[in-house]
Amino acid sequence: MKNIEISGVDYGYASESKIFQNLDVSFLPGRTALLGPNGAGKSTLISLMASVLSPSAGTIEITRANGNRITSRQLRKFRRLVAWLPQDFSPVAGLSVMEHVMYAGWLKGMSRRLAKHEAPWAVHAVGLDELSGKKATELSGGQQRRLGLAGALVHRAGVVLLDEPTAGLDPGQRDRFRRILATLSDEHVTVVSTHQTEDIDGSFDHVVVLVDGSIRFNGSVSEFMNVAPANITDPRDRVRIAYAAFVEGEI
Amino acid sequence: MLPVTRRPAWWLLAPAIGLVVLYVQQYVPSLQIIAQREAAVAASALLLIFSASLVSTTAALEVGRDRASCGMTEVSVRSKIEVVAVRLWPCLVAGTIVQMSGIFVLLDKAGSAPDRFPVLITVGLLCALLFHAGIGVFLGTWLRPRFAVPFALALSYLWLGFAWSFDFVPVRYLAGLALEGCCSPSETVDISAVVALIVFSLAGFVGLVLMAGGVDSRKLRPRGNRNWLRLVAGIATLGLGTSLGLFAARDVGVNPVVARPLADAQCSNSVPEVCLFSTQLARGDTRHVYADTFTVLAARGMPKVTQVFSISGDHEPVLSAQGVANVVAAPGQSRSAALESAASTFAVAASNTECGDDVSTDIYGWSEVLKVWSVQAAALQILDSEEREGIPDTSFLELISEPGETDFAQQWQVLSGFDEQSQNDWAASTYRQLSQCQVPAQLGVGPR
Repeated sequence: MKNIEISGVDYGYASESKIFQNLDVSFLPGRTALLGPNGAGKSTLISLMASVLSPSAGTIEITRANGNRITSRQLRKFRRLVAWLPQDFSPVAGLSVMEHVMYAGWLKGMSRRLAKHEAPWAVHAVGLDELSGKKATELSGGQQRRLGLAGALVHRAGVVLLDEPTAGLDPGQRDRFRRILATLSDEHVTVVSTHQTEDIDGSFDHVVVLVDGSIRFNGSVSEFMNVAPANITDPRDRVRIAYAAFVEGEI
Repeated sequence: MLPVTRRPAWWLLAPAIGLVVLYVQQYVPSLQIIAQREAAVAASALLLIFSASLVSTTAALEVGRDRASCGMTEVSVRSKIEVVAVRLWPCLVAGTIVQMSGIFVLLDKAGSAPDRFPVLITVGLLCALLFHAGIGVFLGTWLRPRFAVPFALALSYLWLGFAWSFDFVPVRYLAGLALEGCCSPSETVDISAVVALIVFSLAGFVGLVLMAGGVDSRKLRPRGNRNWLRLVAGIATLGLGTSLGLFAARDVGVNPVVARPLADAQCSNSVPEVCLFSTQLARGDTRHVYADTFTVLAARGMPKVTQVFSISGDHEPVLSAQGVANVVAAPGQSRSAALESAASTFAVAASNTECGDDVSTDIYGWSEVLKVWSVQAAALQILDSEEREGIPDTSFLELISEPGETDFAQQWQVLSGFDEQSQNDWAASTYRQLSQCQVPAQLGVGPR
């Protein structure tokens, strides 16, 4: 079981004021929805946790692996624990689906042999078996997202970070993606950034609400929904109202 | 990891080898490399236009594929060096195969040779491929593939071509193509030129890869101290490599050669003594033809030659006052070619005299007549009738005879009608006059 502990993190792009100042948040095992409006810092936080970005202060820890200001060796150890699917995932040209997942595994430190052994499982997990021989760049947008997820999962990381994985997908593909997420083990820390509140109930265990670089809520889905008035019975409405309460300060 | 069938370098390997073989068969004359492994391998420097462009374009494409993707290499556990190595090895191996194919074809064309395989030149040329791989990595990282690939091709060609035509000669040896000017039976490669190529190529490769490592995927500017450090280190390494390369090649001339030591020559026991290098003897020993030719011509009144060498270099006189002749001796040359080379010595020595523009045309024309006479005089005594076919070649005399000026072809006709003694007297006096910048008198018709 692994947690992600973020303590005292500062981060800002050179041209802007700081997005995060002294940010403290922890992500527990299970599926966490990272909610927040556009510009709240969700993608930045996911990128920081994936070690794509480095905080200017503070620490990001996965158990004892520390993602901030560390040696290359420690960074590699940290990255072995993390799977990351960016919002703008695009595949490596020239490879088939299966080869792509094998290459992703190799990049994550797996031996060629192990990557070859594990790739079919990852391709199967995202439902791309029938397309395993197809060129990765010839897949549709939703299929490419699933391919990215397979590449992220192939090394069986303890932490899975997905940045807006269903953004831009049609309802059918969104539903398929949700079903894939549901198959991820509860022992993983899975963080999914999204602004689609209808996905929350039934798909996630925890909710973190991020607004303007600060955490407005961090708790279980039921705690989150309890913010809504008791007379609202539809779970989707309760989620929507709770989200509005944390983002806009009104119910 | 990345399947063989997906690597562009392998797709382009067969066409590149085909081009190399065609090019060698079509454009590299056997005479230039026959019986000389060193010259054959050096001639393969020209083939860098195929092998280096293959390496740079495929490297740009390979590296560009990772750059154009998102979500893969950014969180790689593998180091950038490891990822680049996996991307580059097929490009480098394919480039090496193309270059070595060219070398093998050239060696085959050169035939058996007494000299050793020039390992250093080969290493230099393969190092040049590394530099072009660096170009591909750099452009593939900094540009989108659709721009990186054509730019890599263009940059490789421009570097190879422009460096060769640079007035500041040491720059030529950084690119490697100029090694094509090496070597000959009497000249061996100037090691400084190869050292310059190796030093620059290795440092250039490291510098370009470091500079490529200075950017994160899809971010076209360095971010973070480490990336800036890589960029600065890359530029510094490239600059250092350039400086060291230029320093190494500072004394190399337009041709990257040094004369072979005369001590390596194999001398005959004849009079005059004829000393040729092993490559010049590899396809038949013609030393006796040189000795016989100078003996015959001495008997016909020309200056006595005591020693014959074949050493190149503009600073060497064709015929010294001490009677040492410096001749051209190509490996595998026929007896008639050896005779022409020896017999031309006096005419060439005379025409090399600095006489000023007002008489130079006449001096040149008469020296050509003297050359024709020398060749004929020696050939009649040394060669059999079959070997004498086409000798002497008088067609050139018609070309240099202009209307209103001396008709050298006609003068030769007149001379050949003279008896032997008159011819001998004419030759001796003409050689003396030409050496003193005096124009010989025109010959009258009829026997003298």
